[in-house]
Formats: sequence, C-alpha cells, structure tokens
Amino acid sequence: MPHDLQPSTALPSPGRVESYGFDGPSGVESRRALCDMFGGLRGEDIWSRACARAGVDASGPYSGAELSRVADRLIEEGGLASVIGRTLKIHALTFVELSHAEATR
Amino acid sequence: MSTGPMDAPGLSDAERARLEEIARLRIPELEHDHVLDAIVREAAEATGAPIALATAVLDDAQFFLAGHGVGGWLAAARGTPRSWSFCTHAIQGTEPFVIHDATEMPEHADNPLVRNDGVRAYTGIPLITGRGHAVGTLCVADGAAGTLSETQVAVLKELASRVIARLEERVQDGS
Repeated sequence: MPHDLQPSTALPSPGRVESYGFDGPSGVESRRALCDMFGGLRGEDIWSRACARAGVDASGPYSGAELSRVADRLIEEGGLASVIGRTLKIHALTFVELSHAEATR
Repeated sequence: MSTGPMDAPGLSDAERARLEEIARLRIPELEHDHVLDAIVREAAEATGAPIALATAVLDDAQFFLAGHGVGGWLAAARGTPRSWSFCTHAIQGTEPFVIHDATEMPEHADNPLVRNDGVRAYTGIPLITGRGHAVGTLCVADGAAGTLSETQVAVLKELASRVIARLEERVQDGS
C-alpha cells in the first residue's frame, strides 16, 4: 500500500518558538503532504527529486536553509507540489524570523 | 499506481480541487506583482486600515500575494501558518468575514497574531474564481477594534474582483 511508504515522524523538529507555540518544520510534514496529495510512491519520488536538485540528502535531518532550498525546488515543480513547496517556504521563514526575534528580545 | 482520491485520506475532494485551482493560477510561484500591490494600496486607502493584504490560503499556510503596511517577520515570511489565519475562516463562505475585536472573541483571542502582533479587527472578502473556488482573500486588518462601513465593504468587494481578474490575467499572459 502506498501509505506504508509515508515518512515516519523520526526526524527532529529544528526547535520551537515558545512565544508563538510554533514548531519549526522538520520536512516530515511536507513529505506527508506530498504522499497525501500524490500517493506514497509518487510523493516520496517528488520529495527525493526536489532534494537532489537542491543538493540535499533526502534522508534528512534537514537544516532550515536546506528546507528552504527544497521548498524552492518544489515551487519550481509547479502544480500541487508547488502549493506544498510554498507552504514549506513560509513555515521555514516563519521559524527563522520568529526564532531570531525571540533570541534578540 | 493510483493517485486518485482514495490515496489521499487527509484531503477532501473539495479541498483538493481548491488547491488545484491555486496551482492552475500559478499562485505559489508568484514573487511580486505591481498590479496587486496597487490594489492592496487602494484597499488600505479606501478603508483607512493600516494593513491590507491579498492572500492565498494554501494547504497549511496563508501566502501574502501582496501587502500594504506589513512589516517585520510577517513581511519577511510572506505568510503565516494556516492555523493562525483569519482568511482560512473567510474562505469558508462567500460573504465578507468580519471580526470587530478579536481580543473579545474566545476562538480568536489566543491567536498569536492577536496575542503577540496586536491584530484586533479584520475584514476579509473571499477571492472566488470563475470556477467557484475560494482561493484566498482581499483583507484589511487593524490594531484597533472596529468595523468597516457598508460603502467600504462594497469597495473591497470591487477590489477583490480585480484581484481575481489579475490572477487570471497573469496565467493567460504568462507573466
């Protein structure tokens, strides 16, 4: 079954912005969204190809900068993958910006 | 291999069709659009609101297509998680979605945008495409409680129709 191939939740979150109750993206959410959207096999393939084009090891864990690059490749892909890519980009930037603001407060 | 709805247990057919419409309009690829910038500026001027946005509600985020009066982390991120988005409520209907004072509403008072960023009033007009999908909103927000006049809401509705027209135009001319 395709869903057997959906990503585990083993990858760690990069951290949490306590004042916003916001967990930074780990990549697992996006991989799961791709699998929900396209089926497990194709979803994992789209993720792996985006990682390869971004120069990122698809097995993770991913830094924020790596996730941002993978997001850019998904956006370039067009179609429904681009929707998931833009969501990942916004989550990655939200985490960077809020964690920076919290650290300098 | 099937890639039909049976393989997407977390996504309704209606939501999938809505996201496909967002993809068709190439909204996720949108970086900057001067026409949308001008429309949100008009929205702020017509309503007196300090913040005006054209947004798209994605699968798990809201995306700012154009913004007026938005600064700090919101401008840098060009969006927020969907769970913080008032626009996600606005696209559930076809009429303007109005919040007079979010701090007085238990369902919104704990929203980080209210608690940490000071948003209190919101009016969002759903952006409904010709195919009937609500892809986002034209909205205004304020740090002071309040409600727009009927005339101001009418202006926002007209501007929302221009946002949809612009999104369609971008696809047709490939810009």
